[in-house]
Amino acid sequence: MALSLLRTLIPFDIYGGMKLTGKYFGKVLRQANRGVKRTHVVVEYPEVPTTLMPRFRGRLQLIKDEQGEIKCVCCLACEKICPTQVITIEKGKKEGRKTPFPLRYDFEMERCIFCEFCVESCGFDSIILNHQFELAGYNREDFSHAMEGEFQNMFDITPVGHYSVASED
Amino acid sequence: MFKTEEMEINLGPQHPSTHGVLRVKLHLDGETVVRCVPMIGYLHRGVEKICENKTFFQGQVWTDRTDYVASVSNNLGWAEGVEKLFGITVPRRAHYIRTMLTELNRITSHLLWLGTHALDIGAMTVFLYAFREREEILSIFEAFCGARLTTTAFRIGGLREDIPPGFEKQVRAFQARFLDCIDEYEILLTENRIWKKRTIGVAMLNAEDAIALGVTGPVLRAAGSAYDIRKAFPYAAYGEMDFDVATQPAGDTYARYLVRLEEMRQAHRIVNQCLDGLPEGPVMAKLPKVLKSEVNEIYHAIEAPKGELGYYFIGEKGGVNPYRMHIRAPSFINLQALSKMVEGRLLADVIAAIGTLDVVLGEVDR
Amino acid sequence: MAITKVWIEEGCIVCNACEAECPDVFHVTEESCHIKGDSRKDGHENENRDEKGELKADLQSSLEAAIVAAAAACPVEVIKYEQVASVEAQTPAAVSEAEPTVSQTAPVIDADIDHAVDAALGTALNVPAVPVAPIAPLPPVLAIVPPVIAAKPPVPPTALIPDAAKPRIAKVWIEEGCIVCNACEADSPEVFHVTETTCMIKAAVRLDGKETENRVEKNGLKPEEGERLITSIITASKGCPVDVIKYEVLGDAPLVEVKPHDAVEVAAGPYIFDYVTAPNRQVVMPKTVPLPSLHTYQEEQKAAAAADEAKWAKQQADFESAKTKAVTEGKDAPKPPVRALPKKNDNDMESPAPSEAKDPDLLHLMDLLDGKVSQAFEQSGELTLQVHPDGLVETLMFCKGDASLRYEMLADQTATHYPAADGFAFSVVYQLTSISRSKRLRVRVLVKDGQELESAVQIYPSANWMEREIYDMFGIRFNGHPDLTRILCPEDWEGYPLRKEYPTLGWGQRDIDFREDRSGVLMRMAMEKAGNMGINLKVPKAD
Repeated sequence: MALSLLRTLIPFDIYGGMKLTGKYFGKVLRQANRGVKRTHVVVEYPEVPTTLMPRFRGRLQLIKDEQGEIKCVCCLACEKICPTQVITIEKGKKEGRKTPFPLRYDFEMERCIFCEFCVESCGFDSIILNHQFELAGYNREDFSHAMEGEFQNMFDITPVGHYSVASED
Repeated sequence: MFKTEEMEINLGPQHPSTHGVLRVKLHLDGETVVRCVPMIGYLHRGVEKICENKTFFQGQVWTDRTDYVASVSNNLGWAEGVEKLFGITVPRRAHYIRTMLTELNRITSHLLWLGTHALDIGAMTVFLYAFREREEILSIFEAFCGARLTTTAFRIGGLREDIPPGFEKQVRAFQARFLDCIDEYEILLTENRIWKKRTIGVAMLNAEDAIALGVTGPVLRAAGSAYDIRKAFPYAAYGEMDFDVATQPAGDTYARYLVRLEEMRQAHRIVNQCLDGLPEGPVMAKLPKVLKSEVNEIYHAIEAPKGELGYYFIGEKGGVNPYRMHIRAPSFINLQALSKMVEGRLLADVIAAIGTLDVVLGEVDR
Repeated sequence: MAITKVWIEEGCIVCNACEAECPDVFHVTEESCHIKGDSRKDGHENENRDEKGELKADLQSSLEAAIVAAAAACPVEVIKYEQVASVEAQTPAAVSEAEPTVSQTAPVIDADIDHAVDAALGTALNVPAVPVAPIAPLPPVLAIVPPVIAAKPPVPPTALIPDAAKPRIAKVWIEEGCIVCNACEADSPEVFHVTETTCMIKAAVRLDGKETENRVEKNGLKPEEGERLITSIITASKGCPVDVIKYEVLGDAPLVEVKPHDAVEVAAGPYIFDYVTAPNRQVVMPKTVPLPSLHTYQEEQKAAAAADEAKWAKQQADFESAKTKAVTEGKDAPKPPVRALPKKNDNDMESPAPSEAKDPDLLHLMDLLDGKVSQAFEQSGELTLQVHPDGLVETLMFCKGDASLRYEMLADQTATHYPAADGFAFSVVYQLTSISRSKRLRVRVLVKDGQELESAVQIYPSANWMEREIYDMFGIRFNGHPDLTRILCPEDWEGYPLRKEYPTLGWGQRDIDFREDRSGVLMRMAMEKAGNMGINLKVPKAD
């Protein structure tokens, strides 16, 4: 009874919370602009690039081998397994190449859910999900990737800034 | 002398404290709630219909998107349900890794609940601390499967890949400091006089009503019933784990808060046991390339962070997709109890009640 | 039609495509693709390239479609097969071993077309594809109207050059009284253009190049257009609800069948889509009834065993007759037949089979509910009790109230639609959970379409929302429910989405808006489909 009255009169609980807040406040203040390694968790993202885990699932990308040939052989496994049907492949032949060659490899990113089932199903390691995550765009054409095309091609990481505000000027 | 009249107001669907698109129709007498009718369906996407038209393999991606703060739990329910339907035996190592990730997911879900629930009630600071740890667990998910929220973590028959190098170190680093973090939340809330005033005796639900209404998970355990599917019907590697079921007798919002904090501690214990006892061996069962079901009907339930998450499957002979798939969503069933909890109470308590039920509208509406 | 031989030429790239299509015949190893020993007469498992061994007689026609699909799916086209017109065309030796009841009309699936349709359905309409929905043949009238594509004009039918002998439309005009119903533009968009007040004949098809109603001047159509568009103009004229479209024909007008056009209703009211009869939203209804049941399983097992016995007896009889024949002719005796062993299971999968009810709970309930229980069995470690609909409430009361059962919680309640079933249309299942005894039980009832079921809300209050959901999704009504209204769909929703006849695309879907796709394939298919359904799609302009 007396203890509970004491607790009501003297705000121990508020003191505890203030102490915790003060502890972190002081920690940040000590580290700010002192050149020491920061222990707080805020990442200054657009200025400082983020680190991604090796398995990060970004945008779909076609892989070329050492000779610069597309590794895809059009077995359509990725097209079949894709839950949202974002991949369209057209099979074709190319001179001097034994395996089939994709005439067309369309990837509709606006519906892609980045589940990596396509990469899992591919037996030739001809596609990966790369580490690109800045994928916002201004119109729907920005999300439609094909083998040809200036920005949205399937082979390279899209130039940084194309999707972001920096491409305004 | 004065004319009194009942007033009908709508809480939501675009109200920040309804955690999504929940609309609650409230009949008020002054500030007292006379009648409360939750209106749902704003996020209905027909997940069950879609999954019936997708293969067993593809369907998993839709489970990520029902309860999107606990997608690993949903993946586990789907994978284990399909495995039960087909009669697949999963390697022990895969079970351990699944258990570990599911428990980490329980922590993220409870942390998100803690942050937003406290924010609803008026305690802003906890939100920042809770999200600090949640961020770390999401990085662990990213290291394991490449995505932070829509994980698609498991495969039918096991895992796609073993844990990556450096994963154990990352989890152990998190484990080493997480118990101190829970203590910090307790410093901020448990003895806080405002928190106690807003939660003790609010949104009461006793065990009898909870069971009758089908309420499961922390809400049921906070009413004194120790029903936990991990103990009652062990799945994955929970049969080999040593942990306690957190219960509280009171059945109010404060009791649910204590139960969820204790569950985070128990999840921490289970993750440690999984790391210590991680068996060697393969992570994927040997399966035919094309899975074709026989006529079978199963109901597989797991203990998701929100309660009993059940998957009901019917397979047809030679079928590559489920003939019928149904999700017993814990949020959907738990939300039924909202009327029972708030009728006759004050309007401000409705916010606390919605928060304490921990509903995710993606799962309620499916 | 049957496939007698199948082999793999050199050049396999080990892509697994064939095994995905036809796992019964093809087995892809690390280096190459093999024809499975199970499917071959000689029992060897190799590429079958040199010996060209025959397939087993009973598989020749049953797996035909799958093999053809696999051959079509092969990216390097190394799968070769030998197809014969019928089993009778084979060698006499093969005939004697072949089953007499070989199906002669095995379907030939063109994998590419099938796949393209799937892709178009799913990708273009932005929702998952309808399962194996075969493309409905275009109705005779609309088939002739080429779809409108602004970016890529469709390839017109072959008869583009005007031929004096062929009939063509000389003139077309609109009489007074047009009600601006858009019907003509839907039928023949290249000729008619419906404005806010009236309907115009388009300038592109006219000799004078003006766009008017052509009522006064009666200007002629360009000859090649008049010939190409003759069917669509006649269709539009016949489809006009007020008959104001008039035309003059040179030569014999072709016979055009016109279905009654309901374009007026479509234009007037809100767009209401009849999802049951619409040609392109029809779904393939399931033909089987996958209702897990011990009776059916036992009957199937018995039938399979009997078939196996009969086959073995036939093999032995054949051998005896061949032996006596060989002895009389003085030849070497043939090899005695070997009975095929059951397939070895070399993976971690064991399909659970239903077994007799042994659990004390089930036995106790069967005692209590004498005569109300249809069947009780166990499968996958789960208990199932199927009761008659009139015994449902009693069953649930016992389950909850009986001191030795104590199933306190109704964990889940859901339904399944069985359109192919006889005597019932839905199964409703109740997943009961006993918290105190850590036990689960499934109670199942079969109901007919339109039949009312007693509500479980009085016994288990948690059934409230679940029964509302079942009513919303399946249309099963529950008698005694306090508030049986739709819960997830809006109150004015038509149809019950989880019934099997409800298409995945749904009806009344938001306006379909396609952007230019690079190949034009999806757009063309989508336009065809939409035109088929009577929807006039707007083509986005390429900037």
